[in-house]
Amino acid sequence: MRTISVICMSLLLAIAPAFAQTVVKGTVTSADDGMPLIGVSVVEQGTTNGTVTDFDGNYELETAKNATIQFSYIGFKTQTAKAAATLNIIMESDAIMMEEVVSLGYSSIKKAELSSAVVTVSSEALTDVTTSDIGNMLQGKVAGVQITNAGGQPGDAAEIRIRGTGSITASSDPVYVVDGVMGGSFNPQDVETISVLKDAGATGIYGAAAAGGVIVVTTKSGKKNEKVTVDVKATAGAKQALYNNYKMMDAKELYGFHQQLYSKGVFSAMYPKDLVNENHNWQDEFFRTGVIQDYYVSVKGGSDKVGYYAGLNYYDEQGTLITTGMKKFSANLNLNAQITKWLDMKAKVTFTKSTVDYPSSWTMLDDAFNKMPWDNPYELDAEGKSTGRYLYVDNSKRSDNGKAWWSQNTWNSLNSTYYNYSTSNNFDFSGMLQLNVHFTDWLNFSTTNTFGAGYWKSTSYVDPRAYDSSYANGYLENSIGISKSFGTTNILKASYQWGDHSVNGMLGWEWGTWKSEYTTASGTGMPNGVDALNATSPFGVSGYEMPGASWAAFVQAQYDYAKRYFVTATFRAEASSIFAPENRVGYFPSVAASWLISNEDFMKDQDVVSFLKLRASYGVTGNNNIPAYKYLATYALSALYQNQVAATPSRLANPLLHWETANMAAVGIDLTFINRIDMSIDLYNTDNTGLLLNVPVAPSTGFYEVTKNAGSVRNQGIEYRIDANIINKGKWNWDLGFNIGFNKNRVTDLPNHEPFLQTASSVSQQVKEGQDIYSWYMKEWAGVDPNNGDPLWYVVDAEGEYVLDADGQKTTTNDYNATQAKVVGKATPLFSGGLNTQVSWNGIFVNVNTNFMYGNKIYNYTRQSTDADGAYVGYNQLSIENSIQGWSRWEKKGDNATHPKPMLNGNKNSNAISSRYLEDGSYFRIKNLTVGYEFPKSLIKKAYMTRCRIYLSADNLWTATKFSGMDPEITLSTSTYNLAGMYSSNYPVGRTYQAGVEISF
Amino acid sequence: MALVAGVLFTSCDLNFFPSDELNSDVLLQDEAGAAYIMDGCYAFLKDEIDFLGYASGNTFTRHYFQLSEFPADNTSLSSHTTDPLYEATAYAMTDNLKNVGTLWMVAYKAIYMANTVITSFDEGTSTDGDQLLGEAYFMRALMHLNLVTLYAKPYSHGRDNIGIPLHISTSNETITRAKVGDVYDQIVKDFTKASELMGPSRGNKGYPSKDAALGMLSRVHLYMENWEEVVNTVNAMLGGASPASKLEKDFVALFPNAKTANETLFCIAHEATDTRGQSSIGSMYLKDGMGWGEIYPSNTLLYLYERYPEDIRYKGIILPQYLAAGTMTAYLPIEAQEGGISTGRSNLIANATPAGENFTCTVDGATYTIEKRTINGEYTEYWMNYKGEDVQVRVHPVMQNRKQIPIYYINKFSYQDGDPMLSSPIVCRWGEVILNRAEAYAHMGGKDAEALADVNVLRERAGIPADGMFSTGKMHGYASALDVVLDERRLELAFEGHRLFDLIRNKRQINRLYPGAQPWEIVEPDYPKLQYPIPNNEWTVSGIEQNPTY
Repeated sequence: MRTISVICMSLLLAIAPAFAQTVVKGTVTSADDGMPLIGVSVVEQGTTNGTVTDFDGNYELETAKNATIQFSYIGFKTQTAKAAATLNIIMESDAIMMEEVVSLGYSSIKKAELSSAVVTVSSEALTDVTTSDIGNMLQGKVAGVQITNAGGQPGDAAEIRIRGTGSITASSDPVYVVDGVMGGSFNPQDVETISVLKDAGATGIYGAAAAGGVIVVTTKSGKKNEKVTVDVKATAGAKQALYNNYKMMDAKELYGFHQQLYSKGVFSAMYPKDLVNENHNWQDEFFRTGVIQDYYVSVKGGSDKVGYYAGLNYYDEQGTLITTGMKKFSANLNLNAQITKWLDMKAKVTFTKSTVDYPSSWTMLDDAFNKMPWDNPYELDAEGKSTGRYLYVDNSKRSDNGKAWWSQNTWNSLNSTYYNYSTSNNFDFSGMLQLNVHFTDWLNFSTTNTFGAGYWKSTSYVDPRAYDSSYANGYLENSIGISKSFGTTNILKASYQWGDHSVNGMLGWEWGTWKSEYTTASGTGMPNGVDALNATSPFGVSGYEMPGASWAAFVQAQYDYAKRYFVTATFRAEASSIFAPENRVGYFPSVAASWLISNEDFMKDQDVVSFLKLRASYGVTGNNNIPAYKYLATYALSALYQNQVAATPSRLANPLLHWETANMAAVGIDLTFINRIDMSIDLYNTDNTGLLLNVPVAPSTGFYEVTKNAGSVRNQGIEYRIDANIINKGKWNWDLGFNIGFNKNRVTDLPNHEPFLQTASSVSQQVKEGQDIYSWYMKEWAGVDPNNGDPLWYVVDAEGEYVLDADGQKTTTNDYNATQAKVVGKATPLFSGGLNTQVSWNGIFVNVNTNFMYGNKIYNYTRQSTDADGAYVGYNQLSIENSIQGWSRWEKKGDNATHPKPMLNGNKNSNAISSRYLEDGSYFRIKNLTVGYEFPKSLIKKAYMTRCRIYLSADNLWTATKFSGMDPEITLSTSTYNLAGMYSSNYPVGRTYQAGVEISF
Repeated sequence: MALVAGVLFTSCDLNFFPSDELNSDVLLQDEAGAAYIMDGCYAFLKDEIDFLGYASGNTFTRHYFQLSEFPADNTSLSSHTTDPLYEATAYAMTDNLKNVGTLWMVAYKAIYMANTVITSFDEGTSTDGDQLLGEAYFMRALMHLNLVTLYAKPYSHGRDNIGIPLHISTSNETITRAKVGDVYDQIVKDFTKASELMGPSRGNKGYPSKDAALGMLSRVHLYMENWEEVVNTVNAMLGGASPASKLEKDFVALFPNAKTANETLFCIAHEATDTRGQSSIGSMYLKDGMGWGEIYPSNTLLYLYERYPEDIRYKGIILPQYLAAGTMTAYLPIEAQEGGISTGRSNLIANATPAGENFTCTVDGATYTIEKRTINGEYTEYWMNYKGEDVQVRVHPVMQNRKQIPIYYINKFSYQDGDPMLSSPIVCRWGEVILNRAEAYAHMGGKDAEALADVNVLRERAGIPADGMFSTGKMHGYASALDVVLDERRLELAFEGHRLFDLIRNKRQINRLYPGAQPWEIVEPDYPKLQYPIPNNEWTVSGIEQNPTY
């Protein structure tokens, strides 16, 4: 490195010019309002000689005589002028920001010159919703990007799918590139812009991790000579749980329901008549209106050598489920400095500390929904009055008055909230140092080095006084994790222009190493209220460390001719310790091209189409999102027998494991009419081959799965986006944006062409050639027999075909075991998207942001026990009377009902897994509504403010859906416990109302 | 430059190894590795397994002791539960439930591990090595036996019936279901080999031993109706000692102390940290601070025990939950739901007013007489005619009820280290072995006296008075020595996972006419649902044949 710099410095000196000089002076102003523009870049073309305008828009530059001077500024059209003693420039704003620079992570490019599908979202557009998660902010704003809330737990990240799901076992999450560093961290409030890279033309350079797409984050930073700005933002509000259509039986309905389950004698002996008056709503006890607060302050500015940005953010969210919440503090400092003419530096330090409180008992969500309304959660005194304290329960008799406890589970986790807690504390630190060496005006080198360190500690505490189903004498678990990482990215960039030709090149290599360590200890038998491990009898210890490393080298070349034809070619080679030595290196080529038709001469004479471009790209990226060591045949030493270390085989090893590859082909068109209507249409075809799959093997071999590169999945889709400035007249402005993405997913190849099942909690999806990868596979519900109220299923043979009767009609059976499973729907939607609008008048503005999804099926797992026709007499059941789906219960012969005759202990497996519980997951949601007022500049000037805005905002205001659960947003992630699109006692998202103020000085 | 960097970094070390794992080559270098693997085998039986979306309570031991007990006639489930033990109890199994799936997977994993040890080590290199090899043969046989008894018909129903996949190598090839006879032949071979290789266990009774292998062999021969072999095996085990000398004096203390009790031949050892709380085997039988306490002894088992209330197997194990101020109460089983056979029966509970020898009770305003009947001059039963049906009624002091079922807790799987939810479930013990010989004698013909003598050994230990002993001259109303032995097995081994197999291999009906959430019915021994379904994730992948009706 040192040698290289020395050589380059000498080169620089050697070519130092000695021409005749002149001094150019002037002022740069905006054509819009005549105000001076600060920080406009003024550069002598073809050299590195340049400056920027000062606070009053003035500049002074020594140039060669006859030099051409270029003036450029974000949001304005770049201008050039011949050097003269006085050169005042009026810059015209660029309505559609064609000169806008889009960050692609390692590099940035003018939007007009892009050959790939990249969508940029600004910080203003992002931060309308109040959340700590960036995914949540992006929801509904980018075509072809499907974002799903994980639930209401504060701090949980939303799931992001870009252009469908191409992987089955390996995660399809996109990779983040933050300020040019893959996998970096950031705080959402510090974000300046986000670019979503959707096709291989843009993602190819990120290689093996980019199959799920890339999200490029640029954080705020101070520019040189920028005026000092202080931004203050404060929002506060309330958040309530959102049940949507979810409605449980009340005391009376449940009483009537149980009456049908028992013979008269037994019922009257068991159920006192006054139960109908014992109507206790458990959901109201478990859920609350939480307070949510978000405070942000930042300072940015710059001198002629240094630019700085410092941001502080405090976020505090009380969860709607009692005992849950999150507090987060983050600080970010960005510094850039021009050290010498040829060297500049960028340094960034980010620190985040957060505390997340989880439900104090793991049964809380279940308890909220399936406890019987006849059980009073409060303790009663001798007169039968509530003492205001939650009842302690460990038996099917109440501990206060000896009466029956009706709920199946003989505990009251509300009482446990007095004692128990589950909390995690997280500290994250990352530091980045970037050096840019400008060898010549056409060649520079940057090295970006990042160090990250994280520490978390989680504590679960069960007090001996609280009833716990696993630990009679209390339980305390402390877990500590430490992670460190180091990465270096080194890029040499060159650019050269001659005539109409322009060439850019990039050559880079990067190397990273990381390690995470984990230690946990638990104990039991502590005295009441003592939550220190010292005071316990040891119960268990475990711990391990997980190291890893990878390297990559990449090269990219870009060429354009006459700003009309653009070509980019990229190649990346990469290796990771996840795979076996012989399969470690992967190669990822990509190419993209575009034609900017609107720059052609034949387009010059019209003014309808202001911008028109055709794009095409093809490339290969990879997916390595699987746990490490899958290639090794090892024995885990994590078990104990009689306190001796014991070995169990970890897995069926596969030494041939390698990357999963995504072959992405895409074409797109960008079109702008009369500078007001901007749209894009994209078509893509992505073939993921050599899928990393956990292929089931027969458990009789001793193993039930093996990770293989097998099979292929194809995602084909079309994305459409339109943003229109409908009215821009006087004080009125109305913008409307709409985006929609259709995606079709097909499994195209499997090992031996054999289908297989993905199963969690006994529910299955079938992975089969020609089908969507998330195809629900279960017995098909045929409704209720009007004659006797029996459950019915369609008879399907072992091949998955309907068994037809003599008339060619589907036959049905009331014997669950007499039929076979078949594909009955898919968990992936047909399309998803968003509709956004902003209207403003005289400073008053209304923003509405919505998102929608259509055509997916959700399996409502909870209904197996809470809509079970009498199978579970200790769980409250979904209301039939108040159902919005128009449900009805079979009562007598001839009834055409949705629900079978209730039978004690269940009616012939009616609640077994079948398409009965598979529901339409389509929804339309008003994600955010904001109404606010922006004070006129003239008014706030006296208070030294440059901007002042107040607003009221509501998140998740309204949802249209037919789904019977609490929230139709179900993630597509698959785990041991959950299949894509499976709903099971989820923590509902909240509806938030808040007021905010944003001030800039 | 990319190429240069490429070359530079290819050579950089990307080889990492998990810090808490060992390569199998390294592990199998010496006998110590075999010990780690065998311990892993036992640990796998007791540990909670993340499988098919379940973790909590998803253990082999829990599933095994439920699947082998609840479909028989010893237990009554007081109400439906989300746990698939309900489906096992009610013959409502489907092939995707976690209990059938997990048990199958764990058993074959243990077989794979045992096969690894068998194929990696040679016999005769050392005593310790042979002991571990013996353990491997023992585990392979035990797991195959557990599988063949749960998923296939009994041997006595025909050698050629379809059995289970028989795995005697570490090959990962899937194989089809072997015949029942072939599976049993291999089990005999393996237990025999295990008994030859092993001496005393390498620790407590949580490790197999020569005697454990022979004890299991006596069971397998019994199941295969090799009566002579049963007798010979047990005699060899006794080596001239009296059967009584092999039994624990304190029957109740046997279970919490299974790991060290002399009577235990093999148990799955649990430590204090292996307590499973609400997901333990004991949690279904007992509520003491923790536990569900939802499974009670069936009325028919209670009637059998109540013939000799001093029987310690009743007095010390079954814990009736009487209410403090007990008034005599009648429990009359009636249909829980009108016309709902499959919903089982519940109880009508009414005060029982003494009326001479009989009682009367009032139901729906009508007074009924509860008639006392004396059976065989020895036992008392109460009967009542209700709505035209002659129904046996239980009359006893008023009790705590759960869903109209009086609560009798059972403590056979509790109180190890004082923890109500902790036990080391016994796989084989001397009490069983003696009864294996008793049953063999009873089948042989002409050996009834020997059979009854063995039965009396157990009865004496249980504290049954002398007039409760059996002899060929005093059969207490039993028609045959075999009937005596089978009832004694029921009394002695209740809840230990024998009753289902004892009934169906002897082609006896399962009489389930007692209240509870399970159907009120009499089940024939060839009822196909007495065999569990082959798990869905097995047959859909390997294509092996599913059992009938699933």
